[in-house]
Amino acid sequence: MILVIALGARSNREILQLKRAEQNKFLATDFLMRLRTAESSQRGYLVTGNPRYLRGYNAVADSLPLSLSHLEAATSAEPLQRRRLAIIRSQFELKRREMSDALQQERAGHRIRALAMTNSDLGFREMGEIETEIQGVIAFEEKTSLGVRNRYDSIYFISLFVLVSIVALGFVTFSLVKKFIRSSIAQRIEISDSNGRLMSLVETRTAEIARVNEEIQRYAYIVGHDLRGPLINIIGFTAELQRAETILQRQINVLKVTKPSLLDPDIVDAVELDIPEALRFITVSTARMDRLIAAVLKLSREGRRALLAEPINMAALINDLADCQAQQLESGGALISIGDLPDLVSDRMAVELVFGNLLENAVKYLDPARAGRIEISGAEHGDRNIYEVRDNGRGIAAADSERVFELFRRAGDQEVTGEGVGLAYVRNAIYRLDGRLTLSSVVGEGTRFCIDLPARLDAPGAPDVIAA
Amino acid sequence: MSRSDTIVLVEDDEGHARLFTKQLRRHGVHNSIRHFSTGAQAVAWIDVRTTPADAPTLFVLDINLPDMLGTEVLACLAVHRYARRTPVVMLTSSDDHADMRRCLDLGCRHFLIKPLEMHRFVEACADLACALTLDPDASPVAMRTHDPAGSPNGRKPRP
Repeated sequence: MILVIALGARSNREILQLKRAEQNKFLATDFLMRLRTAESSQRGYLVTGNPRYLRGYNAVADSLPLSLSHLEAATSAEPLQRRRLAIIRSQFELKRREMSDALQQERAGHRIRALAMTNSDLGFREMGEIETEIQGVIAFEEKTSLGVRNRYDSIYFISLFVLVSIVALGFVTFSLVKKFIRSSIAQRIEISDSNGRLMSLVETRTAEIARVNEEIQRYAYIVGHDLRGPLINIIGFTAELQRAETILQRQINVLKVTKPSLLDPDIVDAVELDIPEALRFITVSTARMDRLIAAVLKLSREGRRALLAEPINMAALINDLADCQAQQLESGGALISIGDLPDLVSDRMAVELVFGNLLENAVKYLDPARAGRIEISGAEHGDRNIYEVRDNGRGIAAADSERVFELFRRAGDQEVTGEGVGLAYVRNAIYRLDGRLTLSSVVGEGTRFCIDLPARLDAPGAPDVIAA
Repeated sequence: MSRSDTIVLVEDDEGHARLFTKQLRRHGVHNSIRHFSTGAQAVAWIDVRTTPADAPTLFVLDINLPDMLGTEVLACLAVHRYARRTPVVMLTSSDDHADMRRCLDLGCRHFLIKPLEMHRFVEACADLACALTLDPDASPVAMRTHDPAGSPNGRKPRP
C-alpha cells in the first residue's frame, strides 16, 4: 500500500515535469516561428515596399522580447538551457537591431543600403545560431519528456506489476484460505467421525461389559438359587434320618434293659456311633454349604442392587460401625481411634458394607500377643476422598494379598472362623462405587487398607421417602 | 362360604413335596393334599373348578417352577372366579427381594423360605384363616393354630 502511494506521488511529479517540458518545447517553437515571421515580413517589405508586410513585421516584432522572456523564465531551472538562452538572447538582440536598422535606412530613403544590410551574412549567421540553439532547447526538452515518458512507463509497469501481484497474492491467499478452511472442515469432520466411531466403540464395549456383568450376576443368582434346591432336600431328609435315628436309639435303649441278648453289637454301634457321626458331618457340611450359597446370593444381589447416592456423615457412620464392634474390642483390650473423616455423597448400604467388613476384619484378626490398635482416617484429594483403615493385627503375607479378596478364600491361620466372603464383598462394593482398594501389609505388624472413593458418586439421588 | 379341605401344593421338586407332606402330617394336619409338579397342571386343574365348594382351602406355591414362575400361577389364581378367594402361601428357596416384591404386587403377603419350618407354615395358615384339619392330640403346633375370627371353619376334627 505504501508502495502504491509512493508510486502515485511520484507519477504525479513526473506528469508535472512532462507537462513543463511540452510547454517549454511550445514556447521555444513559438519564439522561433515569431522570429522567422518577423524576418520574412521585414524582407518582404524591403523588397516589395508593400506596407502590409511592414504592419505584419511590427505586430510580430513587438511580441518577440516577451516571448523570449517567457521562454527564459520557463527554462531557467536547467543550467544547460540557461546557457543556450543566453546565446539566443544576445543573437536575438543583434538580429533585432539589424532588422530595425535596415528599416530605418529604408524610411530615411536609403532603400539600396537597407537591402544590402539585409543581404549581409551577418543576419543569416545570427538567425542560424538562434535556430541551432532553439533546436538544442527543444531537443533538451524532448529528452526530458522522453525520460519522463520512459519512467512513467516503468512506473506504469511497476504499478501494473504491483497490481497484478496484489491480485495474484489475493488469489493465492484466497485459495490458501479456502484450502485451509476446506482441510480444517475435512479434519473436523474426520475428527468428529473418529470421535463418533470411538464413542460408539466405547458404547458397544460398555454395553458388552454391562451385559457380561449382568450375565455373571444372573449366573451367580441361578447357581445360588438352584444349588439350594438339592441342598434343602439333603437338609430336610437328614433331619428325617435324625428323627428315625432317635426312634431307633429309643428302641435300643428299651431293648438294652428288657432283652439285651437280642441286640447285635454292630447294630448298636451303627445306631449309637456311626449314624450320629455321619449325620453330624452331613449337618455341619450342609449348614456351611447353605452359608456359602447365601454368600454367593448376597454378592449377586448386592451387585444387581441399584445404587442410590445420598450425603453420608462419615464420622457418624464409622462411629456406629465401631459401636457394633465395641464388645469384641473391649474383651480384647483393643482401642479404636477415629480421625478426620471427610463426608461423602454415595450409596449408604455399600459404604456401610465396605467399612463394616474392614472394621470387623481388623478386630477379628488382631494379634492376641499385643494390645490391639485400629485407626480410621480420611482426607480429601480433589474430587476423591481417600480413607484408611489401619490395624496392628497379624497382617497378610504378600503372597496372599490378592487371594484374600477372592470369594471363600482366607489367608493365614484358620483358627479364626469365617467364610472368606468379607473382603470379596468389600472389593465388589468399592468397584461398584467407582472406587479403588489397595492393601499394604506386613505379617506380624499390621495391615493398612486404602479406600479411594469419588466424593460424589455418579448415581441417582436417593428419594427423601426412602431416606426417611 | 365353604371350601373343600384340599391343600393344593405346586412344587417341582419331589423331595421338597415329600418333606412338606410328611411334616404336615406329623404336625397333625390331615387335609387332603393335591400335588402338582408343574404350574400348567395346577392351572389346568383350577380351571375346571366350577363351584365354591370345589375350590381348595389353601394354595402352596413354589416360586421357581420349571415351566412357569410361581408368580405367574399366582396371577392366574388371582383372576379365577372361585380360586381367587383361596389364600396362598409362596415357598422360595432364597430370600430374593425381587421375588418377594412380585408376590406382594400380586396380593400375596405370605412367603416362606425353605427349608420349611412347619410351625411357621401353620402360623401362616392361621393368619390366613384357612381350614386346616388338625389332629387334636397331634402336636404342640396345634396350639398355635387358633382362628382369630373364631370361624367355624377353624378346627374340624378328623373323622
